[in-house]
Amino acid sequence: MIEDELREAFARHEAQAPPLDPLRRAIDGLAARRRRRRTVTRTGAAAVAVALALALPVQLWRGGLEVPLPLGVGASTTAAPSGPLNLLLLGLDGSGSVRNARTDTIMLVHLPADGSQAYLVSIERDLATDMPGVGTTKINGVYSRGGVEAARDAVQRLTGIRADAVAEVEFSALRSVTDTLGGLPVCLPEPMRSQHTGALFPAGCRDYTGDQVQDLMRQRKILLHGGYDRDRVGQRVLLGLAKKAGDRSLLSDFWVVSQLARTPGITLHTGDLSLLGLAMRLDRVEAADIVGISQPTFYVTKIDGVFYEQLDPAVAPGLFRALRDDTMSAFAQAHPAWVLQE
Amino acid sequence: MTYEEFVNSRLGALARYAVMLTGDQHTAQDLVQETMVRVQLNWRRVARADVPERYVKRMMINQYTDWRRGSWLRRVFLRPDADQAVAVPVDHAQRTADRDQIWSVLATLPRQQRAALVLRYYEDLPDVEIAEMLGCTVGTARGYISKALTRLRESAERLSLGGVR
Repeated sequence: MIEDELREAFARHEAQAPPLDPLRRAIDGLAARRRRRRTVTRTGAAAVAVALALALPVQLWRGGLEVPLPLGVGASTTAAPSGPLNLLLLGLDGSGSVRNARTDTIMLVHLPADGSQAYLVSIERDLATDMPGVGTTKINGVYSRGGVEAARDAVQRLTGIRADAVAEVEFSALRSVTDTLGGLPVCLPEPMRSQHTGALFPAGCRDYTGDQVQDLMRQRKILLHGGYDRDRVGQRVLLGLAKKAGDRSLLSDFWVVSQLARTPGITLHTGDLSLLGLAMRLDRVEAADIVGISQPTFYVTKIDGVFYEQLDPAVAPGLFRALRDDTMSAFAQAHPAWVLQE
Repeated sequence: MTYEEFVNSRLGALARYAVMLTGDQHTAQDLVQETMVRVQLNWRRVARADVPERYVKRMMINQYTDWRRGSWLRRVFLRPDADQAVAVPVDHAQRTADRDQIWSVLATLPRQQRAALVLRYYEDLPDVEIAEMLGCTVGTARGYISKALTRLRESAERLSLGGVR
């Protein structure tokens, strides 16, 4: 029987296995060398993803490049902050003044204290929130009425989480960063046809240009779960960004880095958080460790004749507790429907 | 499990498994080395897998079968002293030559097919798990195995018809 001969042949050649001691030494030596190289040139993949804005100083710092920084990055405090971190990412549609801008992408980026992963927790734009002095309003309108701090407060009222830092990113900035990086790999679970340009975005993974990414992220009405699905597209774009940024050769390119550093439309509010410390935290997260979290679908409510979205009362409190208690991996395991499927 | 514990207990098995996949000691060494460097650098992620050993073996298969990304393979083939096959301990020279005929036919199989044979006849995995390891459907995995077996049988027949035996 050929099968028996095959088994015999395999068994006989076990003797050819390479000797283990030299093998082990070779592995350790190679790994040490690669680790050294990595600490010099590897970019924090998640760093760019988390917020383009947060990432730029990170890249500059890692690359040791002499490029004027938009924010005063002092070399004073470099200790990585301990404890979980929450960063608020506001994606702004509409250009120019705060008054015209809507934050259609709202995302809490949660970094657990152990630095093992990053969670992108999307907050749907039509969620009802009570804004002091205004009354019930949709959360995407808070920014235009009260700016960054009002948006930060609204997210705190909703989730109980006070964001440690806030990044404002205009769509135009995302577009130009995408083009600077030479496109982003984005994976879609289903094909989408743009209601704005008629372009067809096929299911599966492909590289997208800046214009395409912007078009992609504006689609909502054509999607089965509306804003929720769009939030997940946004998460997929950030994952693509993280993957792209993880490409060492790309960000060690001086031209690319200096282009990124000059991207207009990105504003960062770190408060008393040390930017370098933040960079050190983000650097430990890789693209594969980023987990997208969002409510699966609509949960409509009507207040004073206006339709709003609300959070699923059976799940959302547990989500926010997990964010506060730093137990997100348990939450993700218990609620697979809330986890972005790659 | 720590990385140290994993290496202490599993490196031998991984080295043997690499020989079955690649067919010679040299390439096997490169395959294990390249994989284990990645394992060491990303141990956290590997340790999160249900069965880390299975995860690592799958990494090895991917690396072995994936031509496009497999830069290590290119390195191996470009190396000047490539494939100094190590002699297998022999009892009767002629018998060994006959028996090792199967080994040299294995070397001519497409990588996916060889990997499938290793998973079934060396690792003794059920077809469902073979498919999982190869990242294909069960039907495809079975197809690999039956094609490979046919090829092995044919060459065995050719050999006996040629009167070598």
